Amino acid sequence: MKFGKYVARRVLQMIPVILAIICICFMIIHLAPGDPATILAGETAADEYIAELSAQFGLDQPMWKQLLIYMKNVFQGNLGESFADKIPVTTMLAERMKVTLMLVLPSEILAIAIGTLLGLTAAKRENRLQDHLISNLSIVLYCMPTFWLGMMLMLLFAVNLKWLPTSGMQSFNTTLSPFLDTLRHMILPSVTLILVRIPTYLKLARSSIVEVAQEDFINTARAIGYSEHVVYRKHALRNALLPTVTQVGMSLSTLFSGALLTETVFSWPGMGRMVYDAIATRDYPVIMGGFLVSAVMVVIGSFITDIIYMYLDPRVVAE
Amino acid sequence: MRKVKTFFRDPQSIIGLIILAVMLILAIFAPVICPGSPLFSVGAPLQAPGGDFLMGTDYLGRDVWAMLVWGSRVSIIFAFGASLLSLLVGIVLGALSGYIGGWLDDLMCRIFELFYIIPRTFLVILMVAFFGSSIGLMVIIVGLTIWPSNAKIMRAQVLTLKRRGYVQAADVAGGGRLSILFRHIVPNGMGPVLSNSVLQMAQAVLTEASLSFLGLGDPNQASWGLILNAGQRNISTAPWLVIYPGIALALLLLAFNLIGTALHKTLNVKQTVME
Repeated sequence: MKFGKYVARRVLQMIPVILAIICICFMIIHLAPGDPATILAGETAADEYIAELSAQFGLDQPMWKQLLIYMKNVFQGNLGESFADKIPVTTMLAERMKVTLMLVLPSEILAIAIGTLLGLTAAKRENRLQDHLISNLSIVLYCMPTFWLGMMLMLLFAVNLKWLPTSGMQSFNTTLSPFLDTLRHMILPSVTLILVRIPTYLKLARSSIVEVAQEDFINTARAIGYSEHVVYRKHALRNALLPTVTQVGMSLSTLFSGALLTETVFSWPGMGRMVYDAIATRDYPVIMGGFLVSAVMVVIGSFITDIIYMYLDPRVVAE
Repeated sequence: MRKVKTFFRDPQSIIGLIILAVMLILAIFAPVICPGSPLFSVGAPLQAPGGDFLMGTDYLGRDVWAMLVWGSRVSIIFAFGASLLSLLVGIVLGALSGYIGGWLDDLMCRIFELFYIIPRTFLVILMVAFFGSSIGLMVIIVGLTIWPSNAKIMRAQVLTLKRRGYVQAADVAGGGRLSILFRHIVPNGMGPVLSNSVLQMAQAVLTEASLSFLGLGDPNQASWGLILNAGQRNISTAPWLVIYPGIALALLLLAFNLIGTALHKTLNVKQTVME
């Protein structure tokens, strides 16, 4: 019961923030110079046609009225229709989100696993050769711009070695099944995302394990006679995972927008790319939809973080 | 003084400082090293490195080395411009919200929350695409989207420092509230904010490069992202177009990260989460 109340309070707290994001995004879009009807109609179009398009999109209404209509529609689950493609934004979002999540989720999970394990290895050998090697490698990886690393991997494995396809999600002439073909296209963008995300989790895991390893209960576990392996895996790691959980929650805020560069390099038709294209063509409903979905993802992410927190550290619930 | 010594003895900070010094020299003396605009065609397109041009030419016959040297200017301007703006806004707002408290503090915390939830990359792209991509405007847009972390750190510093004895002494001595805040509290709480600022320089440089790579940069400036954007099309035939500017970019990011991390260590700042 206490838990239900807590969840309800969190949801209520988040509603004003999301409303504020809708308002800010709406205002930036509508205060900016240039107007979508003109862009869509083309520069040589007749004034009557532009006016007709404006009326069709509701752009001839005063701004506050447009905002109110938009909010009302959002609460009814209607995010409008794309100016350019004439498809409901919800349909577009659902399709593109699937494509992005397919790429981003497995990559993030692998990055967490590999990063944490490397961090654990480094922490066990604190200030020794292995630690220095791992930590320096992690700094170098951390400083690699995502899109550049992606291009370098593409250059090596797709252009020079020709092991993997350069871009896209599917090939036209292939003997592979569609599933395996997509998987093959996923390898390079996934590896890029994994490599750039490893350092974040590695650094977190290393420093918090080093910190936890100095606690009394670790010495106690050692004194009981557990092997080093068990001491680190069972006792230190679990207690050191809390910062990682927080970081996972924070990463969700950049899940869609952060994949944009990787999606661009590898022509992966995901959400980031959709919002970017919508910004270029001033497709207002699609831009708004992208912002809204990203914001809601963060809220959901912070929920999940809290729940995992409670599981890992039962003291949190008591507070 | 001892802290300064530890900072300069740290091999990480020395490597960082050397790279940064080289980049600064390139940026300052760009007109001497490569006279003339780097955006003019000077030879046949897509020449391989080695021959007449140290790093080859791009698809318009522009000298990649000259663009790289001039591009360091854009990156350095971004690093210092955006982080300075973020530093000023962050310090003032963070200090005031921690010192005055009450409704202002509540408001600030709501703003922090907002910045945490709003997708920052999309926001920056939206503003640059809609309001224009001149370099000055882009510096302002980036600076105004990264200040909350500085403000958060400053706020926390003020909250602990304002209970210290010397602050109360200054209060009793009759110092004005604002003068106490900005003369006594803020200077003593600057350490963590400064090391965060160095890390933000890396963030600003990366943001500019990403925007230019996406084709949203200032088309009148030779920036590393611009070379990468143009090079992407010729990646299979002219790989040098993407290799060199990327190395320059990664080195500058490395420099800021090494210096920032070394400052963190020297000032004994508690580990913060990397974004």
